[in-house]
Amino acid sequence: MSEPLIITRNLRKVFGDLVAVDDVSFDLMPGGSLGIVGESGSGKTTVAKMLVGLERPTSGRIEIAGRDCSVPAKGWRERSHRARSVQIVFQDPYSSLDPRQSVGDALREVLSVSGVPKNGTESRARELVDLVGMPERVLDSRPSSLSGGQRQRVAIARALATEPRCVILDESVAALDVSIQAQILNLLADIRQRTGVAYILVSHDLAVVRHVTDDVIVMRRGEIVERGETESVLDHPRHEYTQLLRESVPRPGWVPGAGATT
Amino acid sequence: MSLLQVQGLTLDVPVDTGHGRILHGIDLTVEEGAAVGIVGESGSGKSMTVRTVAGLLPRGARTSGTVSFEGEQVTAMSPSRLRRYRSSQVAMIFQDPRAAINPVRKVGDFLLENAITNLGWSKARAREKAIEVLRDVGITDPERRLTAYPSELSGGLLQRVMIASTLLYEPELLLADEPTTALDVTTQSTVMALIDRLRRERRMAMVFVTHDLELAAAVCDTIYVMYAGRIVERIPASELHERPRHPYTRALLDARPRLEGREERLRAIPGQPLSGLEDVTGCAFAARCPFAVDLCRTDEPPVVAIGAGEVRCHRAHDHLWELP
Repeated sequence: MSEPLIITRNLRKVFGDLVAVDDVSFDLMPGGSLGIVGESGSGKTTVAKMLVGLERPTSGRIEIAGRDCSVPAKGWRERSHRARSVQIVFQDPYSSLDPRQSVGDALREVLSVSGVPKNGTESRARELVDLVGMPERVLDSRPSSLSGGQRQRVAIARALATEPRCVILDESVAALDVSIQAQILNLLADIRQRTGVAYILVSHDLAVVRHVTDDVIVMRRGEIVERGETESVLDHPRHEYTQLLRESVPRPGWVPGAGATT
Repeated sequence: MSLLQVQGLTLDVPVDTGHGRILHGIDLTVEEGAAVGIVGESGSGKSMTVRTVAGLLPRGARTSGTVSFEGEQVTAMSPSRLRRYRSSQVAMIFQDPRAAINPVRKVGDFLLENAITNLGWSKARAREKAIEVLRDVGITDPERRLTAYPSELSGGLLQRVMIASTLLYEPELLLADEPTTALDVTTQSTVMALIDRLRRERRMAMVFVTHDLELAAAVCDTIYVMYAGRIVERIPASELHERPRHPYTRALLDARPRLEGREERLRAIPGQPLSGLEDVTGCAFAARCPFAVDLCRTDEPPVVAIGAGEVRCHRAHDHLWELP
């Protein structure tokens, strides 16, 4: 049995008077796929931000690939090690890419910062766009000439550039049209199969969570209210909040307001 | 006479090179008290269709065809007639309530403004009615909410305020453009239940624009599916899951991951959605359609009536899903 890739213990984050994340603990095995489900204010995005170092936990521990990541990285070596452990893809592909930077430059920048020698960045950039199912000519494109789905492919390619062991997908398919969302979900499955990368999917969309993840935690107001294998949590939710979430999803025969108290 | 009858509607908007057509002959009918859904992806023209019905056109836009509300042509209304139309006969709610409400005015001012300036109510009557409708949409302590600023309310509460504002004058037609898309799923469910109940109680008709087929099917009687500025299918909501006729409708239903059970691969639709602006020869969906034949790439498909619906497809009678 291998060691978990990511371990969090008793994570807590307080903003002023607000406890955004409270006592959150979970493990992610190498190559695993964990869903974090919740609505606005559940703390799911704050957890994601703490994992990539964009927020510092108020207390609790984050261990990634055997290193303590609860405190900010000291020095270049530690930062680059963390960058090779975890990357993140955000929801909005329109704001997460620099409009002045070509796709190729965006990828080459990440590659050279992560220590790929200059003569290797070009071929690696081509590999990356190929991995996300795009033609090589997009390397010369700017984000403004790409569609939302294409930009999200670029954001995924950029996240994979450092060959991270885990990619955090923070509502990464939520803003996409249905037909494009399905393409990206298939792409994510292919990438996981080919590279063995682990995913943490932060999402409010239970159907997407079911499709992408093996295990799930359900968060509400900063706390984990239920956890388990994705299939069993969604098929037989035990916590009443998980039940309400599930009842709220429109589906054939659905009546709005089902399961709600108001 | 139908409450709303749209026939052969085209809409041209200014683009860099002159005018570009984004709606290509829309036919749509809404009977009194009925709920009609318009579903489609980005650029399909679903929002522009309801905006045209509301008389909200971008500057320099040109239309042809008819948009007739109780027999009156909306696109020919004078500005003052249009104001009266929008303040008493139709109401519109949008995806982002924060963008539709003045952030520096109190909720009460927002609610009372239309009633006092356009409908000529006294302040006391408007206030009394505002409190009543806020209560109707499930807002507790309505007197206090009237003095709140929009920033003090959550998105779900603010959308309830928007809905309340439409109930003040009881319009005959509610135009709802993705009203719950920005809300959490549990809030979406309660807000949608609210719209559904109030609409039925008041026999208000609704045009509901959404990208979510399941949601549309749950609250509408009839669904129109749009693609590239065209209506490709009209289908009774009750038949949407069982008997979609257009390959695009079918593909949209298939592309979503399921909540029950998990398939290895999703049936993604190849390529990208086409916007109405793009030049099309033949069927707009042909390039992405697994059933397309040569005819689909050369000739515009006819409208074929099937059962209680209509479909714009050359292969409408070919029973495509039963082919091996």
